[in-house]
Amino acid sequence: MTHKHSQKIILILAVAGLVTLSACGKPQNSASSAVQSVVSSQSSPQSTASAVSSNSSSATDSAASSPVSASSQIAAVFTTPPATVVAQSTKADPSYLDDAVFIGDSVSLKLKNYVTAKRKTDANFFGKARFLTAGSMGSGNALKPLSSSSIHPSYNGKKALLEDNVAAMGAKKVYIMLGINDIAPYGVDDSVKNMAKLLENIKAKSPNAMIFVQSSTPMIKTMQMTSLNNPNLAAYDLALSKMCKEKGYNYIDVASAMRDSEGNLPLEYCSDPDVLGMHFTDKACEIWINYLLTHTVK
Amino acid sequence: MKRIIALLFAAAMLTTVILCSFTACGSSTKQADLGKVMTEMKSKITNKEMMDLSKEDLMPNYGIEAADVKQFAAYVDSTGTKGDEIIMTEGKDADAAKRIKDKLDARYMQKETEMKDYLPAEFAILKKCSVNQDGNYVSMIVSPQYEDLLKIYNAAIK
Repeated sequence: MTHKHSQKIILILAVAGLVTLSACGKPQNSASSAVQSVVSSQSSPQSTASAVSSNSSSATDSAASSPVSASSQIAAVFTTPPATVVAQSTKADPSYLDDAVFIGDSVSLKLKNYVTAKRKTDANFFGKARFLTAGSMGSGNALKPLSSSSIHPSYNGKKALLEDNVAAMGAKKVYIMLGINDIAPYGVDDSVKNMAKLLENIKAKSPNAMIFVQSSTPMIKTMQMTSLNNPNLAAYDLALSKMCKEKGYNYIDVASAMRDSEGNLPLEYCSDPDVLGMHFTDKACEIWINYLLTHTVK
Repeated sequence: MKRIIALLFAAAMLTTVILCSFTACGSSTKQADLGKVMTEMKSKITNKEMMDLSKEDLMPNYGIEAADVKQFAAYVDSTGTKGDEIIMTEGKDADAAKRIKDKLDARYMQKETEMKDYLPAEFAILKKCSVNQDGNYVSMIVSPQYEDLLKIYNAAIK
């Protein structure tokens, strides 16, 4: 077996694991429901994404042997503007983030690690922002009850529901980026519903906190999977922006700074091009941080 | 005669208790410089995308009180996609070491939860690794080179 084959098998196992992990959550979807839910909204503005998804669908999510085709169609999805977005602003001082907490999965875990390393030489790097991150977390599994085996991050050694940890931290700004662990098991629509429910829970316990929903970010061209792929990520982001507009949350379009002309994550921004193709390099973290500090709300 | 035997028995018991308190019940340790141990480990570690943690990181990352720690060294993966995580501590006393052990056990369990269905290759590595306590020394070494790194650690503290 070649090294490349081993990597693909590991990738498939990882995705299968994700599906299994989430199978006992909220309304169960079949493995193909991600595609179905997108297809069901074909009359919506993300119809291009739906068409691409349904063309490439199969019963289970798996790594495609080649990038999703119809790149012109895909590009059209990425050019659809979000329903609402925090506009560009003059670059804020990092202290803007002193009262912020960042919630996220392994993509945000990289940001946490990058910030932690930078703070060794600059204690005020990224302000005093704190993090609630956990590998494999999604809004779906974050809604599950707290237990020793639940995927909820710890802060100061205390594992708690996100809404409880956010309240305990006294955060005034809550930045959240989830989705890459939701789309395959839940589909686009239910992933957004789960995010909305999670944010309701957070707002209920931290009513004065400002909510900043960050878009999910794209994958590299060669790592597209049946359900987790750039068209579906773009469709998820678009639906997320609509939910934010409806609920009055701030939508931060980080993905717009992370796409090449075809809507893919540039290779230079990807730390795991041979594994999952979606995690960030230090350079991507710099771009991300710059985007956050130039898209602020007073 | 019975009184003498009883006194001798009591003396033997007292000696055992005193020895036990010095040696943490059989796991005798020697004074180690964990910074130097980590330097030696770093020369062997093949993952080049790791970073040091400082004392300020102990509470947010592990819930460990800095006051409980006499010395420590921590070196963790920086990518967010690998399980490599090495933390070696010396508690300031036995109670502190127990508290640190509890925190590192919780951290190990959290890593299991996060990796089990998400990063199966990393999970397999994690399952071969462990949290160890020897006297007031408590460590969690998670690495594909676990056996080699544990040898370095054990040679330093035992």
